[in-house]
Amino acid sequence: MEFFQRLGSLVSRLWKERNYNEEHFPEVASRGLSELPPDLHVTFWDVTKWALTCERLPGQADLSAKFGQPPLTVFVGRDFRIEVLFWVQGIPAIHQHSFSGAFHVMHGSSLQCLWGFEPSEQVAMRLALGRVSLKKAELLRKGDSRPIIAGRQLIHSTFHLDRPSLTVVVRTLGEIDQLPQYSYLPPTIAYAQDHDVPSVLRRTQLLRMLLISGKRAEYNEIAHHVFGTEDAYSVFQFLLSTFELIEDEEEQHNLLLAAGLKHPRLIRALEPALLQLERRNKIVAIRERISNSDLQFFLALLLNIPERPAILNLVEQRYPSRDPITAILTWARELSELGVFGVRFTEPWLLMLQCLLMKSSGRETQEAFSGRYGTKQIPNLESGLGELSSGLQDSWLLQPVFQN
Amino acid sequence: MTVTKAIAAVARSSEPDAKVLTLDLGLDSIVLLKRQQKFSVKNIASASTFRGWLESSPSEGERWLRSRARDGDVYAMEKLGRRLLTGNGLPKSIEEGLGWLKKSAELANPFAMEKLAEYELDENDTPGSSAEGERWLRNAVEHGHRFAMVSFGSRLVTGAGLAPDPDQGEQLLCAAAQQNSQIAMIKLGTYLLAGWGVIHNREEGLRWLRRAGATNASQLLELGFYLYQKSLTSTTKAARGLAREASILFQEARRQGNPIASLNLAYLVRRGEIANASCPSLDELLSMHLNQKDSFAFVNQALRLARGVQCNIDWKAADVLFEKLEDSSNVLEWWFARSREGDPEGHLVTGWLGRHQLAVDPDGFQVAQRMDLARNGGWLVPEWMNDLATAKQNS
Repeated sequence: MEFFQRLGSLVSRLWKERNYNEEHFPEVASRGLSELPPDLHVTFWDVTKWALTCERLPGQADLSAKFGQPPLTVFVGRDFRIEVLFWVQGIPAIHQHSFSGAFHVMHGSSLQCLWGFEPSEQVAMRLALGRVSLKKAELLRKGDSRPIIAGRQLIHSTFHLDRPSLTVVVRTLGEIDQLPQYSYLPPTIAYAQDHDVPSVLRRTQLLRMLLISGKRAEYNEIAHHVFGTEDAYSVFQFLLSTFELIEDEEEQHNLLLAAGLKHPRLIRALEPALLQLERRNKIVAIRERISNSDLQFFLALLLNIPERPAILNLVEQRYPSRDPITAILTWARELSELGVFGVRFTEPWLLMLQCLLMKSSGRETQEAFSGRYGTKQIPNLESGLGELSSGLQDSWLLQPVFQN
Repeated sequence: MTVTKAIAAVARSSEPDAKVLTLDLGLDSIVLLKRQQKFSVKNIASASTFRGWLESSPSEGERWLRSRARDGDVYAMEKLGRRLLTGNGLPKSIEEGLGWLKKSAELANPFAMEKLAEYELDENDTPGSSAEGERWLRNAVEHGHRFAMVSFGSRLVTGAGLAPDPDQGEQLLCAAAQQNSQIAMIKLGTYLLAGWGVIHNREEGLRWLRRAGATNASQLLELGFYLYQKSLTSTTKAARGLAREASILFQEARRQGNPIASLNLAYLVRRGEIANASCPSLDELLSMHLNQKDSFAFVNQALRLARGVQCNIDWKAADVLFEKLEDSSNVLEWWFARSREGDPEGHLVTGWLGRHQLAVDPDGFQVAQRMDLARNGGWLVPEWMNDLATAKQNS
């Protein structure tokens, strides 16, 4: 495609001036994207039409579409390539890269989160335990570009809000000294997703097969032996791939208990990560069923952002003219009306939610209830409000809006 | 608008014009927000059963388990121990079974500890077994075994195998429930519903059951059925407790208008698995279902007549009921499974269906063979029941 030939030539020339030094590539790629911003030159439809009708596509990388839905290689230069990544489903995968460069939002918008990782134990080359924490969250709009730094300096997730969203990535082919390319499971795990161990992968598939075919008892029978004897990385992979298929809490608990006998530190770290992953996948599924774009945005925040201040900030960024708390109250009500919580929010619940979002004190909350309902005559109001408050804060879906 | 500005606006936005005297905070359902829609009665009641590799190839299975156990696989030790202790798939050897279980428990396997506790508390009558059982149970709890916590709490509430301490028992059950143990919620709910070991509190009991996923009568029924099914594979002492828990749920389901609950209660009462005093009479429980020609009701009524439960023994009248059965496939499925578990009533019903040519005996037994098995189990089956019934054929 002519535009990407121009962009590719520009990047080639700029990088050659830097002796093809990978350290300079993020700057080179960023400059290329700023001089020739793709969103101003090509549209989603231009790229799609070209890719489907051109005489010959450039050599395609990542044929199994591990990163991109799908990824389309549009230019291949010396030790770098340009890709257009299509996204139709938001995936909140937190990762680092073994390549460097820059990306540009060409169509749609994204929520980018920057994360930090403080390792506490390197269990194996492919697996580390530690603390994954949010450092920054921002909304990226069409035309925004950001650098990609290889390795742990840039741990991020880019959650695409619109369907489709398109990003243009100008990247090196891969930097050996930045391997393995870790993915992260908040709040505790870093693991290498690529270069699977064949036997671990195949056994994982077999364990999944048992659960998918409804052979829960068989799975439990064999899993205890496997978890009690295999190495930490294998057990991690087995649990990562099968845990969410086990619906019964007691069975989940027993599996972790069985695995914890041989790998206590791993299981202590993994349990909260698995629970978050389960929550994440549930929200992704709910988001898929909902067409209202405001609710999709709210769900994206609940999915990606673990704390209240960042959530309120992002709501303000996206809807500058709206009060973020009122917006959240409206969305919580609408989600409950759609049956997402399994129970409908009543007016007292929404009032309590409002008080919690405003960080009202106990006294202020009582006054708010008294003001609305004249509850001074009602006994046990204080303990009732306490129970209501903790019940809401325990909500699996809304939890992040209460975290400071 | 910022958050701080919004705080000042609470009172303003909370307009007093909607003042009412009563305020329902909806606390009954607030707990549902926590559960991620995970607890469903369906999950807990639909676990598949797996008889294990010993059944498909006993010698190979035993060799595998023994070899893994010798190599230090604590879970193989535990499974070998369980099977030897109960004679499930292997010749029963209590001593060797306990040996493997203890070895596994000493290597910190909490599942083995819990099994040892169950054995000491429910099956071993020797002096000191109760203290030994309690020690294993405490160990299992300390090693994070949530079900052991439930078992401990439940035993302290009901006094099953341990000196009752309802307060501590309730605390343990609450702690397990707080850790999301569905079975702890069910037990707490059940005990509170019936005032069994704890102060009767129907509302609180129902709240726990709702948290466990039983939000209506048919789900209560399903939970009760799950507990009853568990009782079928439990030790005699544990089975009694589970059957009573099931009956409490059936009674609540009946109270909430579920008709099947009456039939299930009738089954438990007829078999003497729960005390008659706590239930309505069999006539009351069965009458509606008999009028509706329900097959299970007919078989229950027939077995009641054959045993003389709350009535005179009348085998002829019982036999007539079998003659009138319209659907026998579910009946065969349930009672044949009981025969496989060695329940003589299962043999009697399977044979009875054969006598009326309502089903082909899945094991290929003659009617007389089944009747003999029922007689050996204590049923006073008349000799004429050995013959095929001809009346229906002639008519």
